Amino acid sequence: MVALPGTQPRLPEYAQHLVRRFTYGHNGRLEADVLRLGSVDAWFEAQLSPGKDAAADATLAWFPHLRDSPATAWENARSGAYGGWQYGNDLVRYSLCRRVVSTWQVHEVMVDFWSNLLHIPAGEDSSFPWRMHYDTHAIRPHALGTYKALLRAAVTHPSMSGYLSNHRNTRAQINENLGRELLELYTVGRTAGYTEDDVKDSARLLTGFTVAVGKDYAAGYDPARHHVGAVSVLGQRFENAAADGRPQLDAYLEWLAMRPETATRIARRLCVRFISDDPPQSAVDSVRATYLESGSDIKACLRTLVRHDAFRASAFRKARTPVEDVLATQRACDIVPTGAGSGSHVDSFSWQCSWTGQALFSWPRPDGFPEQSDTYLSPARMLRTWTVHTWMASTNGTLKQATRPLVRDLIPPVWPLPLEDLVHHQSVMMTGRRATAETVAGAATLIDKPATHVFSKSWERETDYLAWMLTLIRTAILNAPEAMLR
Amino acid sequence: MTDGHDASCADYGVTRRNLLRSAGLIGMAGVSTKMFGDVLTSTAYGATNGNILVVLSLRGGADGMSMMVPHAESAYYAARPNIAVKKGDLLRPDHTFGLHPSFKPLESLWDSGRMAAIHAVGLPTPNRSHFEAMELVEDADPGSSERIGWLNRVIGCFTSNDVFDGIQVGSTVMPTSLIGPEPSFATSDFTSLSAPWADHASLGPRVRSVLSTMYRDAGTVIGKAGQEALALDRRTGTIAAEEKKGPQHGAVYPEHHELGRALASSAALIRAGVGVRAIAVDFGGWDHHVDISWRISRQVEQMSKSIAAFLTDLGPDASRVTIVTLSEFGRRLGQNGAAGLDHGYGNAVFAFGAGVRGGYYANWPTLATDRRVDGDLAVTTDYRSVLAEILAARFPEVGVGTVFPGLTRTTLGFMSPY
Repeated sequence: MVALPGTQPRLPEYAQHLVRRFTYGHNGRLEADVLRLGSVDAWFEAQLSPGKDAAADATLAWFPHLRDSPATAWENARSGAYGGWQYGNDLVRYSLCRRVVSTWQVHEVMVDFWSNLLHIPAGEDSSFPWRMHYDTHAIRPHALGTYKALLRAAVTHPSMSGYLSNHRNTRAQINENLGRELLELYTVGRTAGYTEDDVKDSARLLTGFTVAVGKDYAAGYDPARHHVGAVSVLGQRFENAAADGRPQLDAYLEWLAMRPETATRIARRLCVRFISDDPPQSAVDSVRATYLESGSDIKACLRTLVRHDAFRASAFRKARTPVEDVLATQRACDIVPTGAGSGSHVDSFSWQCSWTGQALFSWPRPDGFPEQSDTYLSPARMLRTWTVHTWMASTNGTLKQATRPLVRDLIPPVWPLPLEDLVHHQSVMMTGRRATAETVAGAATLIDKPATHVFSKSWERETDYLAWMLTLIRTAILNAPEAMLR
Repeated sequence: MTDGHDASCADYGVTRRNLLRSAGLIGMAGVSTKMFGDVLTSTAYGATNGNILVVLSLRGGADGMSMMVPHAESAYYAARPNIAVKKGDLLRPDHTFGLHPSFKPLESLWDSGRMAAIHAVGLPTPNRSHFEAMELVEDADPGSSERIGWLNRVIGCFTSNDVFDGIQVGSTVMPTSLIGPEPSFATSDFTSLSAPWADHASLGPRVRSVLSTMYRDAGTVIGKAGQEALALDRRTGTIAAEEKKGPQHGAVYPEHHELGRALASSAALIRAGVGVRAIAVDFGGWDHHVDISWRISRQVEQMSKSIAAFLTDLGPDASRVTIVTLSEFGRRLGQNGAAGLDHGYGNAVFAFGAGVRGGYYANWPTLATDRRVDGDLAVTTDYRSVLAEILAARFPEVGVGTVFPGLTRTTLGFMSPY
């Protein structure tokens, strides 16, 4: 018997695995890109040098306030015209839209990864007027560059100075906040054994940056506030003799970025995100070596990571976080946002993220969301994710400012139609792979028919009836355990 | 993985750990934060009339010296020219200490002897990293690399082994203190915590049966998570119904406040009588590097209003509930350039409710220069001793040595002995 068209996977298993790890989920366009380039390795290499992305860039127009200058943003927040939380919410929704529609999925994933390591909550009082600029100028341009350049861009950014009190850190009165987190979170980590004096000297090197928080958020550098004089961190002496301390700070940041302890922490974090919650030491060591040899080149680290046996062997070893799940669900159902007005579908999927336990950019501390994926598997989250899946599986009714396929375009052009073939057809369309036996059985239970059922009667061809069948079948596919994993 | 945890669990019947050990499941390789095993067929909930512990995590490093003010120390006023709490503003001062005026909503609780303030508490050695300090506080097993939180070890000593023993309310992310092999879960509230189509007469049961078949493999992380979710689904109806009633006994929580919401949910959970024994609540926003004065006033006021409403809301159940606050560290003695405080060391802990003997407690080290640690308030009471005193007084079935391995306890006397 000839297999029904669309019931066999089009990508080999390893390709599916790599794509699942480095994107926000399967969809037809992504699959076509991989096929067009001839191999998943060629696709991955192309992804490491992202080009223009008209569809993703177009979504920015839906959030006009994101183009406001920091002074305007603050004025709007102060007058009540547009609150800080609204600026935060716009950045969240814009980021989610990009992730759904972008061609350059690996870049979006890495923007998320670094945003989480160098985390500044969206809509936070002291940083929100500059937060969009942080995304566009610090994180995005460097997400596939070098970590040392990324670190410098992030740490010297006005949004970071506002968030971690560096605008109040002066030669007269040291504020340790950013100086400490720089060591603890962004570079060498606690185990490097720095002392309280090291923290203070780290903060002294960071003096001089100004942000008029609570006024107009004008940002600059004032040499008169900079602490001049030799300091030492982890035994390394910095003369710090110039009134303008920025060149000395750059040298300090580069030195920190290239410390072996930093290399270990970044390598491990990459492996936890892309291999498993408890990655093999050999993988961490390989990525770490590449990091140090390449001058912290992120692309080189990612190439090493995906070529490691541990990566190849780690399929389905990570759980999708609530945000990843919501995005993968949009893509699996081929739902495409077309705007972001009030009550739009974009509002819905942003709300779904928070309702299932992870409002994007909302982690309340500087250390970012946990990268351990089983952190997110609480019973409450599971129940709510299953519920969201059943909503999104629906195939009839229109969405506000978003498109989804018509029922007739989801049905294979075959009649009579065996249920099992239909389940595989939907599964390949939504996930790139065939359904498991359990999923086929689950779909049959939901529609209350035997797994061997064949749709053949004329009334079974009616659109409303088929729409309901598809909704239940898609519910089974989305709620299967493997669909919660990546 | 070695298992010394059972050593001092009082032997009140079979604990889940013993079951696991006899089933040969303990010590499975590669299990860091989750243990395998079908815990959800257990129908022995915690005793529905048992005592309950609520742990309020003040995340960010709350400044104990603004909350329990050492007003007799001139060093306190000298080091904080702009931000010290004035002597004349203090609530219920004695010779040494006084409460921040924003504790006013809890004044009657203090007067009735059900609120204790304990000072110079903390980790045995200073750690000014938020994240590491909180991890250490919540893990409470120095020297062990196992990520099993102390609350999880408390749950391990209950005889019921039920997913409802330990619950995190207010967030869907699990805190370190609850992470470990014993079942527990995190939620923001108890509405809409049921399986899809739950109320649909024919589809509801089909959905549940499909999910329980799909997630039947408890040997996988995802399978176990699915099963725990279905166990929760079986019982949330009771809690949601209780929650829908809203606050009882005239309780009024502060409006639009996360802690108020979390405690209102917790009160409903307790009133529903499903057998919860320990609740962890996260209350962030205490990292006051800048302008501490108005910020901490607001924080303490919201916390006090929320706790007062919670105890009212519980009604007669309040006699079973003890609340304790924990924070990763105190803050520096001296103010910084932003009228705020950087990370310090010794801190204040507060206990409220059942079994508490009210008043001020401390082995007060003073703020004399030679008694400080790196210029900050010293720690004279290991925070684990504070928790151990509560556990010993309220949970006799829990072995303190199990929960806090290697702890040499000191007793302050702020709890009525069991």
